[in-house]
Amino acid sequence: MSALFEQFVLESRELLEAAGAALLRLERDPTDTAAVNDLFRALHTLKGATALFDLAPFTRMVHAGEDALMAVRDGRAAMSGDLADRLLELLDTGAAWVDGLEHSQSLPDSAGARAQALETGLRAALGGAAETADGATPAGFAWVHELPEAERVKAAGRTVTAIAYVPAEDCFFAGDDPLDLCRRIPDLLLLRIEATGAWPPLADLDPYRCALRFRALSGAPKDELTRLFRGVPDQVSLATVAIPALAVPAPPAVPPSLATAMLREQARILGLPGSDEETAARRAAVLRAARNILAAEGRNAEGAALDRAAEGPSDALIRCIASLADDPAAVTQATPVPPAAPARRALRVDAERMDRLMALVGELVVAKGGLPYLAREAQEGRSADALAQGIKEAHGRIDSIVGELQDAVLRLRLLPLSRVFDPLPRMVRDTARRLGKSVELHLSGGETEADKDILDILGEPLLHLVRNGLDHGVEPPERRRAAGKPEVAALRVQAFQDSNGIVVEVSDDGAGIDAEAVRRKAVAKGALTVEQAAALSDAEALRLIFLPGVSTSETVSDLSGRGVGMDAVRGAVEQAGGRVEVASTPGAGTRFRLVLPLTMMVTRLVTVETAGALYGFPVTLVTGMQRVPHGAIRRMKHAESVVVQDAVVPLLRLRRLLNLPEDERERSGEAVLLVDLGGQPVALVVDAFRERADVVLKPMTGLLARLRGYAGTAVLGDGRLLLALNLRELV
Amino acid sequence: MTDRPNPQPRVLVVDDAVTVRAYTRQVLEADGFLVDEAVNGIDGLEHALASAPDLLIVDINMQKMDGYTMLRRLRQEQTLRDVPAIMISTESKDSDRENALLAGANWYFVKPVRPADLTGAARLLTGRHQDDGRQDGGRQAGNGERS
Repeated sequence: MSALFEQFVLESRELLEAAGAALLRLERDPTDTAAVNDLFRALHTLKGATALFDLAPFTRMVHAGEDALMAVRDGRAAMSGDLADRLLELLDTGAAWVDGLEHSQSLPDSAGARAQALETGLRAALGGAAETADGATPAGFAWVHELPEAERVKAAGRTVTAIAYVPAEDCFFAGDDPLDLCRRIPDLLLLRIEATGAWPPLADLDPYRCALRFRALSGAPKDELTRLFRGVPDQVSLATVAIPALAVPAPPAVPPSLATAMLREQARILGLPGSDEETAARRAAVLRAARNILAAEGRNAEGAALDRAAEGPSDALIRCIASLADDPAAVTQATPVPPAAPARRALRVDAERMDRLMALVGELVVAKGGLPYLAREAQEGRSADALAQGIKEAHGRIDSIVGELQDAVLRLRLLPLSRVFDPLPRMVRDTARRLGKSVELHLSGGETEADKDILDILGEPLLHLVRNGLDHGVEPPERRRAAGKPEVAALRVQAFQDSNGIVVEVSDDGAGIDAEAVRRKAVAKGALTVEQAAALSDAEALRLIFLPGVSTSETVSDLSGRGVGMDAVRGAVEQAGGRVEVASTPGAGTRFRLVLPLTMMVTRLVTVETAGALYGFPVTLVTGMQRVPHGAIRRMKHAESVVVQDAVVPLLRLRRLLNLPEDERERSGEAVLLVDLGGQPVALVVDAFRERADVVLKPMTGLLARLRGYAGTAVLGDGRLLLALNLRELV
Repeated sequence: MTDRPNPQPRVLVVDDAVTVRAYTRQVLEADGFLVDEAVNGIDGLEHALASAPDLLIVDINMQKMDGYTMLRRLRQEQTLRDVPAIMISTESKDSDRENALLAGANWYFVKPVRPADLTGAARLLTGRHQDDGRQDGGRQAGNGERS
């Protein structure tokens, strides 16, 4: 894909999202003119972008949307739910096409028909378009069809507004200026000024009485003109009329060369009306343009003629340029299409971040400069201590710069969470509408940034949690009323950054999750025995919803599926090295919390040693480390457990999980790592704790990729190899 | 002549659509122009004042300040009033062309513009010889020997 096309895909997505957001604002408040303008502008820009490529149906579809919005903007149509639905449909189609374009670089075969259908639908939603459809010309406007062809050439084949304006005879005394009014007609295609009757003898002519009538055609809609003539409604009549296409199309003029056309245009520009200052500025620009055109054509001798004419009056200059334009010698050819520039991979980067990177590289260059100096000192026999000190200092400087560099490079990849938040308003609107619920979505923290890869992973789970909240959390309005709650439910999605990474919370003020119902469901699914379920605290029971197949809803809906979602949410978040938590108060609401690392490129691991090898766990999963005396470990048959912070936590031994020989060393207790496994705390016995490490994880490749339980490998700073474990797959 | 054509003319592209800017840049750079970009009228004025371009290519419909307003303001600046300007818009109505010329444009294109038209117009309005740079794919600028 060419860089340009890539750019197009990127921009189109942004524009479609911006349009969707504006449309939702508009639907909520149909008088929101800023929203109309934002939406219009987004579509307008999108139309321009599609027109750069061979995507006619796309252009046509967006154009239809733009027309509909223009009607809303001009007050010719109201923003209805139906119109909003159709515009959303248009945006959806556009989004689907953009997705397709990214892969195949072409529109689906059905695109033309689809664009046509959307166009028709939009027109139907606008209504009122039938006025012009019958082709009949309203009474009093027969003159429109009697116009000589030469006069209606501009309007030929278009549906226009015809204006018949007969000013009152005493209109001047009423302060009217009929001519000025007519000159303000937008998109004026024709203006005829006629005498209302035969002219009287000059001696009898009363200049204070208006004896003129005005007939005009305009491309502007009727409503706009009604507004323009609102001061004289009794003297003007307007009608929407279709002007037939010219019987014989005007013979195509022999296309003039670009240079000729441009020179002609320069002559014409000099004749345009304007203030002295405006005409002077235009004259300066025209002179320079004309000189350049002649120079480009190699007609330097004629440039001298131009300079001479420039010293004279405007008329002479206009004549001079016009004659230069029509000089038959001025034949040019169009420049050949330049060869396409080589495609480049583009990444949009904030200029400030780029500057920071540059500054750091500069610092690094300076720091590097200190090293040859140290080398010279070593050659000159400086003491080892002094040299060591110098090397340490240099290392410290470079180390800190490299650290910052790494951070700066990572920041290049950071994107705001608004990218995954943006689809939510639309989704909440549609879903709430289908469910017959009233929900207000509160989004905050969209400016929080995370790595692009994290955002990619976050999108789906987030949609799932929101959909779930709407479907299962928020009660129908009548239940909310009965419970004494406001009918409009509040759904909150907020993001913020904390020391571990980014946190995204999805909370609702709905019915909450009934822990007892979850217990029953889990037992029914065979995930737990009745006794096990009863032994769980409510908070523990809530976590059962993350198990496959446990759904809290009494009815299976097509929205949230059959309870597979929560498991998928947990899986996706953990795959990214994060975790998910749930808290709920029956009757008051539910809160899901996703904790994700800031970036996936560098993973911070807690490392441990077991059976002589190093293993790592994402630091986001580790909740604590402690030494546990043997006596504190309880055994029940084959299972072991330990009490941590007043809670009984299952105890697992890493050697056993990895099928390694038992630890035979003499010791008084065990090194225990407390790990959060998707809300389920687990105590893991390891041989010894090691330092934390920031590593770039490499996924397992080849045959090893099939091994379960390993998240990847990393090489530590001292060259030792480390295996990062995916504990969930091991347990 | 004092304003001898610049061997590698500088073009300021003012458009709020990033794809259009990228397209215009690609086409013009491949033909040996130096290209500067601005995202709206205000940005365009600032860039124009700072870099004194040889040619302006201006979109009409832009946020903050539209192309018409930008050109009118620009034509009031002594140093910029004679810089040739091309307006480009998706609107194909005669009235739009007229408004563009009234605002101070020297030429009007309806989007999308074919690369050959764009480079042709840019060469003419900056005084670059039509044969310039053809043999070497347009990467090299002309030698500027003509006067």
